[in-house]
Amino acid sequence: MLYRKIVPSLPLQKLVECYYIWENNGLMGQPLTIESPPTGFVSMVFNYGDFYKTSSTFNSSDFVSAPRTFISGQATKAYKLLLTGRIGMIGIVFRPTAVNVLFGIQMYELNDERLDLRDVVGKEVVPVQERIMEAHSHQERIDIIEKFLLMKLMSCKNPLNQTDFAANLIVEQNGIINISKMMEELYVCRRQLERQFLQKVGISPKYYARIRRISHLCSVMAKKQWQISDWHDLIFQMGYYDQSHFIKEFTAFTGKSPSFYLKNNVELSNYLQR
Amino acid sequence: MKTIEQIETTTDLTRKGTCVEFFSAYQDLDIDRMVGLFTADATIDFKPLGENGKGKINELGRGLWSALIDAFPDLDNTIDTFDVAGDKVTCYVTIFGTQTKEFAGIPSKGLRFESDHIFVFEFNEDDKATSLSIDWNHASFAQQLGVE
Repeated sequence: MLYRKIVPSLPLQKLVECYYIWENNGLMGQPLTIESPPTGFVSMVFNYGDFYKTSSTFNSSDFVSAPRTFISGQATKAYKLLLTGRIGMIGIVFRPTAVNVLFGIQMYELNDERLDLRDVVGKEVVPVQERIMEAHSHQERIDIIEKFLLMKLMSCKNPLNQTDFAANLIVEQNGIINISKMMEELYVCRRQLERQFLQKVGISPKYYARIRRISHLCSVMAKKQWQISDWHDLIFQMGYYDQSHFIKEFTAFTGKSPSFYLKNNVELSNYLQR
Repeated sequence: MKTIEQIETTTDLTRKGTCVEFFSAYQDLDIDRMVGLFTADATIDFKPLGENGKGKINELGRGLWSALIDAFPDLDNTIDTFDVAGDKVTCYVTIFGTQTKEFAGIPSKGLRFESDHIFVFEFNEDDKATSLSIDWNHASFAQQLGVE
């Protein structure tokens, strides 16, 4: 199994968090279910492997086929991927406001959705999709995507403003941030920021910070290989008031208690390492 | 040719836009615009008020929102997020404002409230909103306004 992240070129780094390539060698014997917490990022995926299914509900049987090439909006809860056969995809992970900046899309329309890229962006993406399918190397695919995004950036008429800055600040602070204080420091009007945030990110600044914090927490737990020795310290570091607040937040976004989530991921981790 | 799944998704997009427009009108304290997004016979259910909270949007809704705006002239809202399921769009919204007049038997102490609300819009096949239910923690709302 190959999963590789690639840093974008300098001009795109304000808009693109990373690219990723995910492939496996040969066919998988058994279907593989991967669960992810909401990450706070939106993405475009070009799938050159087999079709796979996704679920954006807590109901485990509620899978639908993802389009071959799609854009996924802000996830507001954990989602699952059900993979079979051959995995082969390249993805663009955008910073929170980038899709609105580059493509002018009202982001609240995309929340928890995976929509066919052609339906959302239009015909301009068709040749990009075809060239990615025909490409022979990872670098060739990255080059095709970079060229497409740079062209979009050059024709972009929306300069980045305080809303973009605020969204990126929430990302950098891993959601551990006082939004009211941030608005005061940025000299922005609450109503204006929230309206723009809804259009550019898809949700409110406070809700976005909550998602970003859960995403960061899950990432920290994964780095510790799901072995948490001091829960109190972790809860304090993540800025939760107490254990009850932490469990409530965690369950709201993942649909599982922290202990159940850890157990599941240890099992998955063991399976993947086999 | 579009699949059924895609048609359903496109429908959802129109409906979310209606919800955003509703809360934008709410921010502008424009009740006509809020009510105008619903069918003429649309119903409303202010859940915490029980049977007294059920009626027509054009009558009960209009009346309650008028009283609310009168008592909280800086009434405002923040849409946190949406959830789409079938013909229903659930909006998680924070409502906030400062009381300047008596409201629903609660005398004004000049206090500010901020309360999480759940608005559920239901749509018909023509994408018109046919009903709205609103739920909130009324005890917390009253407590923030100084009711002991």
